[in-house]
Amino acid sequence: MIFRVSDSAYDRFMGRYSAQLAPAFADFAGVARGERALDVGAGTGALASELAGRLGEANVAAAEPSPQFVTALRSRLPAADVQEAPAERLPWGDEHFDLVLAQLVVSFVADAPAAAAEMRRVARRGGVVAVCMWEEDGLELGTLLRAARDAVVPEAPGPRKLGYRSERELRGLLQGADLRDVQTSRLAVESEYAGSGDFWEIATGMSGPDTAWLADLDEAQREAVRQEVHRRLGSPSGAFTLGARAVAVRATRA
Amino acid sequence: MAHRPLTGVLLVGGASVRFGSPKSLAILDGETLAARAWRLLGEACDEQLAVGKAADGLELPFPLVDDGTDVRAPLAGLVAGLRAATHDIAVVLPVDVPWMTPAGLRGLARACRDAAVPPSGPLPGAYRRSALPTLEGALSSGRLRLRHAIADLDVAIVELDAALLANVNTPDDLSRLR
Repeated sequence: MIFRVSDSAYDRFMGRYSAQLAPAFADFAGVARGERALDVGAGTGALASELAGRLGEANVAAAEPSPQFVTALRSRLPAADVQEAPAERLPWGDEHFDLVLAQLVVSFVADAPAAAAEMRRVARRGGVVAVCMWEEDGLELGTLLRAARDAVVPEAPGPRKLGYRSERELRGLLQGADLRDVQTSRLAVESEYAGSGDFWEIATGMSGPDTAWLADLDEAQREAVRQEVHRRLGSPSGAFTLGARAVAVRATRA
Repeated sequence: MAHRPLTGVLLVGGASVRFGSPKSLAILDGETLAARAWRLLGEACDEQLAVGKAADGLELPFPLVDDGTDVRAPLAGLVAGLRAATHDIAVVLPVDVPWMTPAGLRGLARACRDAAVPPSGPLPGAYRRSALPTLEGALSSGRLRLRHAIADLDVAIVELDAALLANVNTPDDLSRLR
């Protein structure tokens, strides 16, 4: 899947979570000084920037299929090796990287097993391949919007269901790519919102799997969902946070 | 090693409204998540406190310390809990982590420097009262994300069995746990 949204809309909606997830995911993957790492499906560069901070930009490569995100990445990390490429066709040779990581990606690629096989191919023997996704029901903003929809417009089309959002599926994905020593962890982060109006503006400004259905509602339905969201947030009079929990899986190329 | 008295802080606020009905009052194995967590803290700690928003009006089987802020975030509960704690170290437990054990909580407390947390994130965790100024500073300046708030603390990372950390986000999660 290629995201056809502006990099700033994506960052406001999801980047606020993924930027925090990146250091936790890098810790889990065991990123160490002196290694060379590839970020697959790099998006606007939350993980690639974290890797560059730890390894140096010159030791970081990134693959990303969305042209506008590639432009943003090249601007953000000018010394990194950024290539416009899908996860299923990585433009590097065999055994090129010590670490091959994909953060919040595998649910969106057309052929996840092919992407995992490519990640294995470009990892050196003994190198690490790691992926993470928001766990099913682990993204509180999605749970909130879905619960509000179910309460007030249950007849409306709902959010799109995605695969590879469970430990079982992600472990199976890496094991299916002939990777070994599979380990799993949960990684929890939060994001801040100034108020429920701030949340609503951000949620309706991004057309992603959790929010695209909002665009299909008529004005009265959207207002009903907005009010239900506010109520379920506890009718906050101040700032609040929403949590997100990812499942992360790492494995080794034998 | 001599017994070190421990405060247990239960966080009941926040996400419960997103559950559709108050998460604290959801039933697992014949008791509410709130009662279950309160019982667990009683088994692990010498003192126990529950922190949340009095205005939410939840009917809880224990007294509630109001976190005293408009902010709805775990950081607000953590700060209020540490302020009210009488012991040097507090273990802080969200209401929706029903499989945590007294041994798990004590393990966090034993490892506590400024704080001790599992690799998954800052909660549940053990926090020393000396961490309060840093946490209060984050809260008062609106930096509400716990990972950021503890970034300047000396934090021990404690491996815990992932099963202890499973949490309940939706009624479906609860159904699977039953």
